[in-house]
Amino acid sequence: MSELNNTNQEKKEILNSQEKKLIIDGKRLDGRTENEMRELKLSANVLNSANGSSYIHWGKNKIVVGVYGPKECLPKHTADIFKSIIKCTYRMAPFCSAEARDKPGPNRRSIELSKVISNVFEGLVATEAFPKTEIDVFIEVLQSDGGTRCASITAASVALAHAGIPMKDMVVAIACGKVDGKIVLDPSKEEDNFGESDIPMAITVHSKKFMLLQLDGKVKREELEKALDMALNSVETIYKKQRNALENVYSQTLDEEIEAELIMD
Amino acid sequence: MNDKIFLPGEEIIESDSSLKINPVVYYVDEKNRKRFQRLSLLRDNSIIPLKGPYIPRIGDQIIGVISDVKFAYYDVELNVAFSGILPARETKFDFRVGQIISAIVEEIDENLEITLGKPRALRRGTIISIDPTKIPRILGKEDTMLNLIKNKLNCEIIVGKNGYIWLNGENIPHAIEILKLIESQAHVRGLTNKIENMLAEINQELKKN
Repeated sequence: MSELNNTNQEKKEILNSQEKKLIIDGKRLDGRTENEMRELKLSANVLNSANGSSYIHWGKNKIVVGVYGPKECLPKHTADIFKSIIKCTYRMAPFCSAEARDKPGPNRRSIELSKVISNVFEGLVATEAFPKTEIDVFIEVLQSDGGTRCASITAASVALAHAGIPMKDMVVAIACGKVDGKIVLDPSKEEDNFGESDIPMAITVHSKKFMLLQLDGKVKREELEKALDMALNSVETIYKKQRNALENVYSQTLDEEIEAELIMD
Repeated sequence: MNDKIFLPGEEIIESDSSLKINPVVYYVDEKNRKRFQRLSLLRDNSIIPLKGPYIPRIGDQIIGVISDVKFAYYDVELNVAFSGILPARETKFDFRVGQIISAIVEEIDENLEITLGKPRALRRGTIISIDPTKIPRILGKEDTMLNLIKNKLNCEIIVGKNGYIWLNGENIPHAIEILKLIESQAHVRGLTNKIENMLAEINQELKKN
C-alpha cells in the first residue's frame, strides 16, 4: 500500500511542478543514473505441477511463469504437422496495477503481448523436434510497474530452460526509454507514461540476435543506436541472474550432500 | 567437485576427448559448433540432461495404459504428447480401457507416433509417473539401485523408459517414497549410500511391527 501511495505522490509532484522534469541533476525519479537497471531477482522451480516455472521480481514488477508441454495441440486445426506451436498466454491480475479494469478477460494489451512473446520464442525453441504439438507458456502478472513484457520474456526463458525444452539460446529482454531528451535504461512506469519514447528489446545471449524490437514514440537515428548499445551492454548482467536462478534449483541439495560426505569421512 | 550446469546456447568445448556427451543435449549451429540446447549437467566426464520430455527410441521398454479400444488396434497413453498404437494382432487377449501394459517400442514415424509390440498385461499393481531423464538414476549401474529396492522391500517394480513405473507387492508406499526421493535428488552425489541407509531404517521399522 505504501508503494502505491508513493507512486501516486510522485505522479502528483510531477504534474504539479512547473518544469515537469523526470531527470534532475542526472538522477531519475527513483535515484538511478541513466545507465542503471532496477533491482532484479529471479528464481526457478516455484510451481509444483508445471514442467518448468520461474518467478521474477524486477523493480516493482512481480511475474510468475509456468511452462507445460509439449502436449497434443488443441484445437487440432491450430496444429502444424512440421513443428510445435508455442502458445504464450500473458494475463494481468485484476489487482496488478493502480488503474481499475473495465471488464474481465483478455484486453487489447494482453492479446498483443501474448502474440509478441510467442513470436520471440518461436524463433528460439527447437520446434521441429516435436511436430503437431503445443508448448504452453502461462505468464501471470501479479504486480506491474512498467516493462512487464521484458520481465515476462526474461522469466519465460528461464521457465522454458527449466522445463528441459530444447532451445537454441537463452534470451534476455530489456527496455530503453527517452526521457527529457535523454536515452535511459529500463524505464519505470512514470518514465514510460510521461517520457517521449519506449523501446523494448529481446536479445539472445550468445549470438546477440534481436528477437524483439518495438518502438513507441519518436527517436532520432543516433538515439536508437545508443539505445541498442545500452541494451546490448546489459545482457550479461541479466544472464548472470538467469544462470544463478537455474543453478540454485540444483545447488541447494548439492550443498547438503557435501556436508554429509564430510561427516561420513 | 567438477560438477557444472550448462544452459541452452553455451558452446561445448571438448578439451578432453574422453568426454561422453548424451546426443540429446546439443545441436550443431551454422558455424559447425556444438551448442547446448537443454539444461545439462557435467559430472565424471559425462554430460547428461537434467530435465525434459521423453524422446522415444526403438527397442525401449515402456509402461502404458490402454486409453481406447478401436477395431484393429488399441490406443495407449504413454506420458508423451500422442498416444501410442498397439495393433490387436500383437496379442491374443482382449484389453479393456484402463489396463496397464508393458510393451516394446517397435516403430516411430516422422510425427513421433509410436507403434508398440510384445505387450504384457500387468494385472493389479499401481503406476507412478516420474521425470523420464531420471530413469537411468533409478535403474543405477547394471540395475543395482532398482534391485536393491526390490530385494529390501520385497516388491515387484517394472521401470518404463517413458517415465511410468509399475509397482506391485508389499511395501508400495515405502517404495514410492524412495523412488520420488531419487527423482528429486538424482543429481546428488552419494545417493546410493543414502538410499541404503533409508532402506535399512525402513526394514527395522517393519520388523518391529
